[in-house]
Amino acid sequence: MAVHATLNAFAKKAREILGEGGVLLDEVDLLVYEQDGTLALRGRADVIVFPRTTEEMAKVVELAYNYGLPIVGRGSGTSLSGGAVPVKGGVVVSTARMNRILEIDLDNEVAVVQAGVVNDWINSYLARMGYQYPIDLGYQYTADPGSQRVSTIGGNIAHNSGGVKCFKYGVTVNQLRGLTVVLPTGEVRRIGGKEFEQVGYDLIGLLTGSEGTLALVAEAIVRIVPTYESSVTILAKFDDLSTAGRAVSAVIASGAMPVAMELMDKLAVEAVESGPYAAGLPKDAEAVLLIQVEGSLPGAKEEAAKVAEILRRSGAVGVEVVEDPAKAAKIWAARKQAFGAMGFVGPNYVVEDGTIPRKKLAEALMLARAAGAKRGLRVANVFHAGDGNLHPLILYDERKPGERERAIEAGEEILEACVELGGTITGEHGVGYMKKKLLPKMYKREEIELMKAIKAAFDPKELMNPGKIFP
Amino acid sequence: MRPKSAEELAEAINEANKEGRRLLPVCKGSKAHLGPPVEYDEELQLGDMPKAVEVDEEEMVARVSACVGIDELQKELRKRGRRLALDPPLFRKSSIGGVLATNFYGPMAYRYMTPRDQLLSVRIVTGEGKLMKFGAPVMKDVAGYNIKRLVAGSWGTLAVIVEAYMRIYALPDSVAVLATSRRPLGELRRLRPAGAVESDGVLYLRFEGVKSEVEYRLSAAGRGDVLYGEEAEEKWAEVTEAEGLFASSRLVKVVAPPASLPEPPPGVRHLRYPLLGVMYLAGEPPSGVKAYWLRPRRKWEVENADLMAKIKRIFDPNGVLSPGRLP
Repeated sequence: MAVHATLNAFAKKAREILGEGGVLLDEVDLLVYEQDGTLALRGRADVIVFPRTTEEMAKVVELAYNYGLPIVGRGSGTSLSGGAVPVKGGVVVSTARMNRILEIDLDNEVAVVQAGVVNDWINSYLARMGYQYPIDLGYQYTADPGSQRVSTIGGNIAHNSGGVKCFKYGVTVNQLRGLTVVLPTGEVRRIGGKEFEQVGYDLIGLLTGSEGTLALVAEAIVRIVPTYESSVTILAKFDDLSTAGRAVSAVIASGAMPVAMELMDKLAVEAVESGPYAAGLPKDAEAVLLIQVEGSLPGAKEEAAKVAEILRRSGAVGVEVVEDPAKAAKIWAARKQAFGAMGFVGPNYVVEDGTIPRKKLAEALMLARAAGAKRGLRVANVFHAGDGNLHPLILYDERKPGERERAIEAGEEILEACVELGGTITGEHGVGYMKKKLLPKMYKREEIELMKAIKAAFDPKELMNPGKIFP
Repeated sequence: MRPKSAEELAEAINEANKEGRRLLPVCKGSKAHLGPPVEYDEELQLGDMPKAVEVDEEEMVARVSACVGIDELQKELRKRGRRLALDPPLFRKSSIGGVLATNFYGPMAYRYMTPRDQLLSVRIVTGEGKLMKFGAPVMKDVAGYNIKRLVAGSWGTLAVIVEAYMRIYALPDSVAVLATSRRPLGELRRLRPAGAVESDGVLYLRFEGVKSEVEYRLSAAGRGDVLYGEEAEEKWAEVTEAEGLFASSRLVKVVAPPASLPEPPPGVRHLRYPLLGVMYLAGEPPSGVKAYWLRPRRKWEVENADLMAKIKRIFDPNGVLSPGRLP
């Protein structure tokens, strides 16, 4: 069958499953799905489908499988590694209509959600529950990527997203109790449930972070965690980045258990403070460190005082303890809008995502700046300092010929340096398309072959998000 | 077989593949004869393998050879103001490799999660005899598939662990253990302990953090016997270790959503983690719950066994490592 006829036949049958409005095929519609959060990459899908339930997702995946069409999952499309870009065309399975919170089970401390539920909705819902039925124990979902107001749980699972709270609470995989997934053949599998432990091999661990190359996530059972009575934010200024890096280590070594530790450099602060999320962060510092601690009212206060003292002793030039929750919320919102705010200092950016041993922080940031500078590009840095996860933002202007390519090249140079410093090419954004050629920097051939054998066992026809992860 | 290096281990497994000999990897052996039945021709004794410990106090990472005793490692870490935040049964008799291979955890998993979650990077020899490394010694890494999580908890059926990078933690300012009466789950959660364990009708709560935090939680928790510092650690280790219970001729692990974890049958010895919905019982489990026998050996009912069997074949195509145990 000719390609065109195959697509038309697929679309016709997909409409029978999903209804007229559940399938997009027109050029103008496909254009919208060409990109995700990765500004430097594009790919055109042949058709977009919108299942509403696990069963519909299963049927449409089975259909695509039978027609031999590539299957690419997509939540809100915030991937920063090209994860949701259909680089080989095919069917984009959008979870936009699988957006229901199915159950909040406080007795078992879990939430059951469809894959297309936006991360932050869970917390909004939990906050509202607390308001409507005064439950004396508040709850939260703790995996909180910067994109959480937009990104979906399905996408978070595909990428094993981190966030700012993962120093204490772990990344997405640590929050999962159960998954409902659709295998490439359209078969539905339930893995785990509301129990703490699933015996046997950790299939949830394998599927999480597999970037849609093994199966599509339809539903998830995630743990929710009781909130504490009090949380306090500490804001510290530093004259240089390496002192800030050492201060982070000193705080962790003290036995304090911060929820979050975030570092921003001068250019990143300048960007944030130029936009609508300005929170009064000090623009004159070389580095600004944000730390959040939590506990009982007296406990959080004591821990904050202890952290503040360590920061002063470690060379901070200014330390502010923020107890006012409204002000603290503003500061954290500013941090989370850092990527978006880059528009105030440069028209486009490539964001990298290496992780390094914390003590190599200063070295890594110097390397990042140098990699940009020698190509005439500026680099802003935001950094999950607690876990050594760097996010250099390489600013470029796509209207200037060659700048995009140079920015990508600078990014790759930074990631190679991360591996040499003992770290990894991606801490939380995924390998996707953008970093696949760097995978051999981490793994030797046999190790990559083992991963590919697992891929082949799940997806023998190589239809699931093809062109990703593996070089 | 007693290999003395990773290379010799790889060679031994290669030979076993050629000769069709089935192996049961053993370090200290505390769990080698627990769990689902295993058919093997020979124990693969790992006790002569190198025992390296390298602690990076600043990075909060420790590199540890598989057969290092976890208790030894803990003592070494404590000297430096650090610790593993793990408290599985048989802690003092276990190696780090054994704890990882079985993903054995204790009540502190409520706050710190399981060994699998604290594993950063692992060096293994696969069932095919290939020396490989997965993960990176940093807190976050999503490059490629998360193979290290598959290996942890695979009960020695996919690969033999040679060495691991583990996340370590600083010792908190204050640690207290309260021995008190059992509480309903909702009330227990409001007390926000770092871990809770019930044994012989007594509820033990563990509190950690800055001093005023621990004192606040203790005062909210009400009556009971409080221990601090060394004494608290000693008591906690004794209860979570559960040496007596684990010596029973009948031992089963019950796993349920926390709110539906059954009460232990009257008179049956047990160790119960109420916040996690997990219980070890020295006797027949209540009906209608997921139960996994540790002694006597009985096959576990594992969901999605077909997918796991495919994974097993990739790591261990000739089925030389701990055959029969999983899936």
